[in-house]
Amino acid sequence: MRRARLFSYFICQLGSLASSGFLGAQVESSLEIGASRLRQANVPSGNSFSGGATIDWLGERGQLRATALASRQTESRWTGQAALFGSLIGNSPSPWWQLDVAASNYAQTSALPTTSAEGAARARLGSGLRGAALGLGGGASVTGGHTGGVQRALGDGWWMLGPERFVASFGWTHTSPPKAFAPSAVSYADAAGGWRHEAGALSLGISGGFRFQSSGGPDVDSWQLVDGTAWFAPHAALVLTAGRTLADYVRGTPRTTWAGVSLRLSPSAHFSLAHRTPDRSLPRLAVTRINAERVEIEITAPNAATVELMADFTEWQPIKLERAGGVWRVAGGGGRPITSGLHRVSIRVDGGPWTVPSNLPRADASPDASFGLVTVP
Amino acid sequence: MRRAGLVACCFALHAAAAQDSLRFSGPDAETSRQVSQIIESAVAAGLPASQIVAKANLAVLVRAPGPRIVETARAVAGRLEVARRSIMPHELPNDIVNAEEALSYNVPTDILRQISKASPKAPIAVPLSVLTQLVVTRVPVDRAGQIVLAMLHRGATPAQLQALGNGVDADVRLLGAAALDAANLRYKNLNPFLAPMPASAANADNLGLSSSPTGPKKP
Repeated sequence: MRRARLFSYFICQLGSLASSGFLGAQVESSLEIGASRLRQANVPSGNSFSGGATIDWLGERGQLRATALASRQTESRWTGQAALFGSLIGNSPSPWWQLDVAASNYAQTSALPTTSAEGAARARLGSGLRGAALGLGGGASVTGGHTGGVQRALGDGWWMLGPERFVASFGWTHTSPPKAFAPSAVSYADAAGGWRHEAGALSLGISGGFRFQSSGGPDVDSWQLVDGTAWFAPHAALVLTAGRTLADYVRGTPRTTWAGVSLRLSPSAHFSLAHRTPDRSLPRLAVTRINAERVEIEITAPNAATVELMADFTEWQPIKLERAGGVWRVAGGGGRPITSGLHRVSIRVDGGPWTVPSNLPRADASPDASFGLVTVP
Repeated sequence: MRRAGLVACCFALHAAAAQDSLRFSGPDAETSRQVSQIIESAVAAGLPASQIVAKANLAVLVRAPGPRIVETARAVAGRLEVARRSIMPHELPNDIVNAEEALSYNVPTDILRQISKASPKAPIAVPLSVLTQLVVTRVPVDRAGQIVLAMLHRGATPAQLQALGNGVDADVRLLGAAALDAANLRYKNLNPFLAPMPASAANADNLGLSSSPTGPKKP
């Protein structure tokens, strides 16, 4: 009975996902071609050329990523890998559960391919900005008719601070890999941390971790990854990566050390370094909430001698602003009591005509009068 | 006794201030009389009549003729009633006022209902305000509603919503981007900061399982 209720609950969740999440879904795809200097276990160091493709589907409560990569390491050695990752979370803004699935295939010249499939369930606490998750997972991998199992316990924490994202995670894994990878069952614990900076056209990430292994390898090992992506045009980015990863017994990928550069091409536009920057000499208005009742209004008008503001919250009475460093603030500071939501504003610089701040939508109140629409948080 | 007197005095002052904020003075006596009647009716119906005063004052400011001011006040009163019905159970005057603003730019009531439903316990003034900004910027109303709803479902903060609402227009006017493209791009740029947040984001490849491995591809 309880199982039937649980089943119907997840059916309802999938139904609500289909009715809302799919409608606002975003689809992203990219192609990547690159070169790298590579050192892999049991293979001499050498240059590698690779080509790959990724498709991301991102909905309100789920995401799916399909990725494939082929790499030519020597004249006689190719590797290829394909992976599919999927995730479904509970209702936002504070979803309490998350289901993940992953499937992969790794193949290389003169070796048997490895296919794996895994699933995990996590309990989450917090929101997208900061939170933690604990979960259990399991799966299997197959190499040349030999099947191995894997069980995992996983824990994660994440914290956003503006464009900075910090993550920490730990995991425990027990796996019985095919004999080609390890002679017996392997157990290990992972502890890892990472930082990522995402701002417009640039993305930079650094992560690393330690593995404490009970059998089948060195007692303590470590891995590191560094990557940087710069969108130099709306549809093209330069990607630099370097790192050292550990052998993955489940997916069959070997221990690898590499440094590489690649070109990423995407049919959808991104913020890019070629993006024109707004004219900084035009006056701009910013509103920041200080506390539940008060907000601070700042106008950037670097070349102005005087700045005035009138708005619905001043009952359309002009008020003079005071220079405070490089910006102009309402006299007295400390903010003004203004309700959240939409407000109409107009500004005047150096006694000229009343105008709309350059960074706000313009609403026409009459043929010869316009106001800026600002959202106060 | 003294404290009760002080409280009564404060209450009286507050009521007087509220009355003052609902006082309207038009360009002529007839306009003032008609608008005041509309305001009184709105107060009696429990609507946030300050919005009628604000928009009537705006009409006076731009020197609209008397009949136009009355027409504006009547239209706002009508929209406030529709707004209140559309966003129930939200009852905060500020939420109703912002729903009225959205309606004044022809946002369908269905989108207002969905926003109300998506955020049943928190105030919705900011998402409604951002929706209005996007529509004013000429983002098609359906897509604008979709983006705001998706952001609410994905746990966006008021500051993230505000940045999108204010930023899209800046992209359009200062950078020459198309409104729809600018809205989509701004929304997409928030992806790393909105749910679904991948667990194991940092070391997905090494722990072996993640909802969304964001790290670099390995050769």
